[in-house]
This record gives sequence, structure tokens and C-alpha cells, in this order.
Amino acid sequence: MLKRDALLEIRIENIPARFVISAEEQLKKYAAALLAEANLPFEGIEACGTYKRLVLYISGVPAKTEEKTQKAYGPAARLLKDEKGAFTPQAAGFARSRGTTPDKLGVETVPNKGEVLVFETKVPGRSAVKALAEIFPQVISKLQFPKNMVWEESRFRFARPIRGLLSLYGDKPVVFGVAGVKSGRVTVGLSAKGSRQIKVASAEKYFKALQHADVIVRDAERLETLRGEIAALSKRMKLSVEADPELLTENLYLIEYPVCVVAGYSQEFLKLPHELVHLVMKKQLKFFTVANSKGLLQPYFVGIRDGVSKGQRNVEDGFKNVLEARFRDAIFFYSRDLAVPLAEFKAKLSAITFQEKLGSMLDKTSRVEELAAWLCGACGTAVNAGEVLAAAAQVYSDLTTNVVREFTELQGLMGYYYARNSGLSEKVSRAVGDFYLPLSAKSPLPESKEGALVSLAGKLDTLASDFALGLIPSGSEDPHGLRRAALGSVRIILENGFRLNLRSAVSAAFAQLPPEASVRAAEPLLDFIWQRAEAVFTEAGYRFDEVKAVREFFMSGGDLADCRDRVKDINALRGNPDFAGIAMAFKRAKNIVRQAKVPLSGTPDESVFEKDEERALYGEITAMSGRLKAHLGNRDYAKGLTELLSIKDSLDNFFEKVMVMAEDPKVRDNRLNLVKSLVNLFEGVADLSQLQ
Amino acid sequence: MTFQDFILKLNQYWARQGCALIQPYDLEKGAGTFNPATFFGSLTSKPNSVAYVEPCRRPGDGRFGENPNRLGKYYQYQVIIKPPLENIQQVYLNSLKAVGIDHTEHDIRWIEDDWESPTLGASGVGWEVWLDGMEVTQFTYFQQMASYELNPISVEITYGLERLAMFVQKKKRIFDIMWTDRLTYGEVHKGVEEQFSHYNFEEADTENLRFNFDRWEKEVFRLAAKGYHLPAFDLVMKCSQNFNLLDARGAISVSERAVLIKRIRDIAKACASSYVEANEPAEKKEKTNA
Repeated sequence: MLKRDALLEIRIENIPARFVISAEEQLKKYAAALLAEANLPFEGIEACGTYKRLVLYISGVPAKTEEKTQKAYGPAARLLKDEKGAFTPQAAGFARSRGTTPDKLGVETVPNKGEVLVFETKVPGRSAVKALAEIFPQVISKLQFPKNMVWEESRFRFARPIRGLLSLYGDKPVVFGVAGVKSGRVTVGLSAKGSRQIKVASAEKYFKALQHADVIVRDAERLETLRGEIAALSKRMKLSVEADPELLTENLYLIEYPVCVVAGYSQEFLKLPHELVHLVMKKQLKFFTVANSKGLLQPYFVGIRDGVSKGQRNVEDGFKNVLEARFRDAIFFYSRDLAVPLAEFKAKLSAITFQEKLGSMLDKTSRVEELAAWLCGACGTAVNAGEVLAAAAQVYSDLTTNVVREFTELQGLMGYYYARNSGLSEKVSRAVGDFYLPLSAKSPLPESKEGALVSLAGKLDTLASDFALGLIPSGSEDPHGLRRAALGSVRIILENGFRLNLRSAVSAAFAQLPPEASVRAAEPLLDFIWQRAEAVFTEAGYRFDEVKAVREFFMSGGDLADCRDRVKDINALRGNPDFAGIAMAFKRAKNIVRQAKVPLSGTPDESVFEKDEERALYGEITAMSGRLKAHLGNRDYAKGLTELLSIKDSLDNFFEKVMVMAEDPKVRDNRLNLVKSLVNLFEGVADLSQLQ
Repeated sequence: MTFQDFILKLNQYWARQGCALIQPYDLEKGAGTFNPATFFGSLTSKPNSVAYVEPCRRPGDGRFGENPNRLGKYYQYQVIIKPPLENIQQVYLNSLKAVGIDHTEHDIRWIEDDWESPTLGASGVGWEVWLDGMEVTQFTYFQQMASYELNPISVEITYGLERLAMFVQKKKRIFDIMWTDRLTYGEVHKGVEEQFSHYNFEEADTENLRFNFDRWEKEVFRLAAKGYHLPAFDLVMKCSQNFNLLDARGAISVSERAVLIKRIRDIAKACASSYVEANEPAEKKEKTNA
């Protein structure tokens, strides 16, 4: 059978990039499912789009849907005939209800029902055009967007108004309507060329027809063209146009054909912090920045316009004027900020509420200062406390500056510039600037240990604050970025080698909160942080159960670096042939102790021992415990674990020959204490019972 | 093209599209959306096509006439069309042509920007229109007004007249815009900016502003209950203006701000309910949770 391609183009008023990208995935998914349901096979399916069209292209579709067998199930098979071999009334009734006779019924085994009567009919294939005319409108109404709207009387909901539908199977129109729009074979070209109407002869000629009209419908092709244009420009300018991926994507969905507009701006604006220059260009105008071979910003920009180079001079002038106006605004704000010492901005924090019940940002600053001071003494690392406190005092001051009020993304960073301007040292200023780091899971941490400690103090205060108000993230909801704060804390601690009892740190953070925030949820917060630590450890290649083995240790105040050392050594020694056995024996010992009905001291009385295996085991335990203590003191968990492994034979013998739950309660309790002494020994290293 | 020609051309263009040229409403307001032709006009089920210049006041935006780009009083040109024309985007682009901007010789971009007005309980879906990088128009399909789901939908096109005039006249300062061939925008308005910046930031009697706010608020409820939604809505505009003045005077704390905004939303809602009940009881608009 001859196969043709099928096409659906939904023409809409301008939609943003993220809408297009997600709609493309959905178009493919829903169309494939509905085609399968309709028994209409296809060879390929593709979706693409621009800011004003979403396109679904299905290749190799036969003219008819496949013939389908339809089955109707009836009563149990044994009811087909009676003892005399005649059809029963039930069978006859079922046949009649299906418009047939009992002799046409078959038998089939159906799960949960056994053998039942079945009547099969063949549904002939129908035209692909008809099937598609039902499928396409369904696909359109299934599309989900981050936000929908209504615009016409049927109150159909979609991201933006639908203004045209082009739908073809080969050269035949596939006719249907959605939201008051009838499908046809007409689309429009570039809006920059007046949105001329284009009649499309067949689905197969669609992409060519639009290419002719200077529209690159396929996202990947358009991106390639855009990259090509930018690369060519870089070469011509002998500079590098910085092709920021986010900006590329955003621009990709603001145009149907990329035309670059290059121009320069006054050197004077490069006196602004370069991050600010980037932000003005990228966020406010969607322009690309230009740098030299050393990565240093140069006074040029590249804007992308849609489709034509007619009036290029107008656009260039327009872009230059807008950029200049924005830069003038920025310079105005920046120079006003520089005229004021940071302390004055800090004082204004009292007018900014942090959170209801938790005071102002000035109150939060004081808490961060206190906590940072506490951490200096508790982090087990030499830090310059003077520098920590100097930085902590200014971490939020930039929030009241003109630049940060205008460009909130620059919080922290502007703090660096203003701290330096107020006479703080480069290192302290840098610590202020690094306060919000790391910005994401893999991005850089604060540069200095002092900066890291201040940043940690801020994160712990934020975490404690929200937990105290019961604002614990659930599911994908995490409006205050608590997961990021917890993960950042874990990374800061581990990568700076801080030896910190987080249980105490969390308590210290809670203790500073005003009494109105009454929940002191140390346990859930510690667990929340632990979950991020688990992610870090498993990411580093350790197995989930190995990480679980040190959770108890962490929750009871163990430091994260110590946890990591333990996990590392468990992982390294896991290949030892005795390992699984000793873990199993420990699990058994732990269970026995848990089920004991008397309180256990963990110190057995040697005179009550009856069997050699008991004495041998205890002998080994006492001999080893001193060595183990020394290894643990040296944080040498590999040696510690090796010690535990060495006990395997006597432990196996013990469990094999000795019955712990002896009849004589004195003997039994003594044996329980022996097992308890063993468990204590193991638990000093890790909870090996978690290993699977 | 002078500033006044600009307005004349837009009037001519939109009149040809069938819009009634409703004149500016004679009370102070922060945006054209407060004009009763927009507020009540978008609430009915009747078709509504209007256009008008609307003087607006944003007390906090004034800069004593010193900043080349910021004003405490300025002009919007507003178009409301219900139901929206199918080719409304093109009709808008043609309006630019009417004021001398051929869009095929410039870069036009539609940047996602969903407008909302918490004081009016209004929201919509739409864009900022960028002309060679400069925002010149807010283009919105209203979805809600005074917390009512709208049916049918109105499209609102709001031109920033000063921005467009600067663009066409290639001026870098608002005050340099030519109002006529001889008169500049600065000559008409600079004194206004100076005077009102002093009033807005320094002189306005905050006690009086609060006192009037409270009194008018009560009056809105009383009038709305009697079905006098039009005078009631005048007082909503006045309350909103007092709120903006208090804000410019720095007299509103963060928590009070949210409370005042809700109080204005509630009185706007009372006017809308009074209007809907009196005019379209059969319609019984769907109320939202807002």
C-alpha cells in the first residue's frame, strides 16, 4: 500500500521557549498513543516548533488503518451445549445479542474467568484521513502548558490563542476544527515579512515551502544556523561572542530565522562590575556578550532579530539606544550605592521582613553572626575568627542597595564590590560575595574557609528557620530552596574538612530563633540534611546500604567527614570473603540484643561462662577492644574493620555451639551481656546490619 | 511626528477599526485599567470596543524631573476590544504603521509578560511588545477582573505614548519630545514633575490620606449595596491613589501593604458585584476563589 506523510501545524500567537519544548514532547507522545489505538501504523514521528507554530510530522502512514479483530466475550464455555449436544438458551441468547448464531461462537481462555464463549468480528480498515481528523484535535486538547488561557467563545484552554491549523495527509486536507478554527492547507510566512499566506501542496512539501519563506521550523536546524551565524561573527570580529546556552535557547524561540545585529557600546560602561554588564545584556535585552581571547569583556554586543535584515540600521540604533539607557540606569544606581558605606545599607535591613515570626533581615544577620562565631569554635579547623565575623556582619547588607533592588540576582556579588568599597579586605569582601554559594549541585563553593563558614552559618539559619515554622519541603515543592541549602551545607563541610557535630550545630541554630517560632524540629532537620549527604556519598560511588550503615552514627552527632571515611573503608573492605558473613553475624547479634527482656550492661561475668566458645569469643573481644579503640582514635576504619573481620571464626563457633537463650536465667543473661559487648564493639564502627 | 499628532493618528486608526473614542476619565488613577470603560466594560457580556488616552499617576515613579526616563505622571493610550479580533496582533502592528513605524523595517518581539493588578483583582495573559529592544506596549488578554472569570474575553492594548514618541522622534530624554512643532513635552510637564515629586515624597499629609481612605472605603460598601456602583468606583480610584501616595511617602510597612491592597481589592469587588447583579443577573458570572 502506498504510504504518505501526515502533518499538523498549530499556529498560535507567540509562546515562550519552555512552552514549545514541552509541547513538542507531548505532541509526539500523545500522537503515537492515539495512532496505535486507531491501528494506524507509521514509520516515523517528529515534532518541532517556533514561537508561533507547533508542528507534528508523521512519516510513512498507509492510506487505511489496519483491519482489526473485535472480540465480545459471553458466558462460560461449558454453557455452549447441553448434555444432548444442543445449544443452550444462554449460548443462543449471547449469539442473538451479537447478531449472530450459536454455531459461529468460539471458545477462549480468559484470565480469572477460565474458558468463555467468544464472538469475533473483523472491523475493516478505514481511511487514514478520517482517523487523523479524529486524532489531531484530541492531541491538541491533551497538550498541557505551565499556564493556559481562554480567548474565544468555546472557552477552549490553550497556552495562547490558536490562529490557524494546517493539516494534511499527503496532499489531502485533514479537516477538523478546534477553538473555532477550521483546519486547511494554508499557513503564513515570516511575520517580519508581513505574515504572507502560503498554500502547502502536500505534507511532504511543508518544510521546503517554509524554508522558501525563510522559516526554519526544525528547532535543531534553527539552532545550528544561529550557532553558525554567531561563530562566523566571532571569526569576523576576531573576538568571541559568548554563546550562553540559556540565551541561545531563549533567542531560538523568539525568531523563525536568525539575523544577527552587532554593535558597540561605550567603553565607559565596562567600569560597571562585569557581572552587572552581563546581566543587563542577557536578562534585560537577551543580547550576547563579546569577550577577547582571555575571556575579558569587550564593548560589543550581539542581538538576534527575526528573519530579515531590512532596516538593519534602525534595529542596530534601537538596540544601542536601549542598551545605553539600561547601562545609564545601572551606572546611576551603582554610583549612588558606592557613595554610601555598607553599614548604612545594613541598618536599612530592619525594614525588610525575613519571615513572619522570625523578625527582619537585620535580626537574621545577627543570628548568622552568632552562629558563625559558634561554628568557629566548633568546626575543628583553624579559621580566622575576626575575618569570619567581619564578613558575617555584612552578608545581607547589599539587599537594600539600589543595584540589588533592581537586579536581585546580583545579591551577594554586589556585596563583594560594596564591602571592598567600604574598606573591608579583599578576603573578607570575597567571603561576603561568596555567601550564597554554591548556587547549584556542582557549582563552586566559597573560596576561603572563612567564607565557607559564614555561608554555612547562613544556610543552617535558613534551614532551622523554615523547619521551625513547619515549612518542610515536600514533593517537588521547595520554594525557599532548602534542599539546595542542605546540599550546599554538606558540600561545604566535606570539602573544607570541617569536623562538625551537626546535631549540636542544628541545636545552636534553633536555640537562637525567637520564641514565637516554637517548633524545634532538630530530628527532621538532621534527617533532611542526612538525605542530601546520602546523595553526595552515593554520587561518589558508594553503595546505598554502605551509606545507610553510618546514618545512626551521623544522627547521634557524628561528623560528616568521619562518616565519609567509614563509608569509604566499608566499601573498600567489602570484597573480603568474610565480610558478608560477619555482617550477617552482627545482624543476628543485634537482633538478639534487641529482643532481650532485661537491661544489659555489656559486661559479662567470666566465671559464669560454661563453654569454651564463650570464653574464646570474650577473650578475643577483650583483646581486641583496646586495639579497636586505638584505630578508631586514629580514624583508621580500615584497620578497625579488619579487626572485626578477624573475630569471624570464634563468632561463628559461638553461634554454632552455644545457645544464648539457655534455661538457667543467670547463664542466659550472662550470654546476652556477652553478645551485647560484641554489638557495642561493632557499633563503634558502623551499623553493618544495614548491608544487604 | 509630534506628540499630539501621534495621539491624533492613533485615534484615527482605532476609530476606523470601530472603536469608540471614550475620553479620559476625570479622576486620578495609576493605570488606564481603572477607567470605568475598561473596568466595567470588561465585565459585561456585551461587545465593547473603546480607545482613549488615559493620563496616569504613579507617585513613587516621579524623579523631580531629573531622570530622563522616569515620570510620576504620564500618558497611556489604551484600546479595549471584546471579543478580540482574530487578527488582533496584525491589527496592532498596522497601528504602528499608522504612526510611521513600518514593522517590517524594525525588530518586533513579543516577550511573555502576564499582567496582573492585585488591587483590582485582575489578571491576564500576554506580552510586552519590544520595538528594536524597547518595550512600547503591554498586550493582554484579560482573564479575570475584580476576581470574576471573564466571558467573553477582552484584549487590552496599552501603548506607552512617551516611549513611542521618543522612539519615533529619536529623542533620548522624555522632556525633549516635541509636543507640537514649537512646544516640548518638558515645557508642558517638567513643572508638574517637580511640584508633584515634592508633594508625593515630602508634603502629602499621610494622616489625611489614611483618614480619607477609611471613610471612602465605608462609603463604597454603602453605595455598592444600594446599586450605585459608578460613584462607588470613583471612590475606589481615590482609595487606590491614596494608597500609592502613602507608599511614595514611605508610610506603609510590608505587612500593612498586603492588607491595604486586599482592602482595595475588596471594594473593587463590591463595585463589580453590584454592577453584575444589577445588569446581568442572568449571567451569574462564575466566581473564583480569589
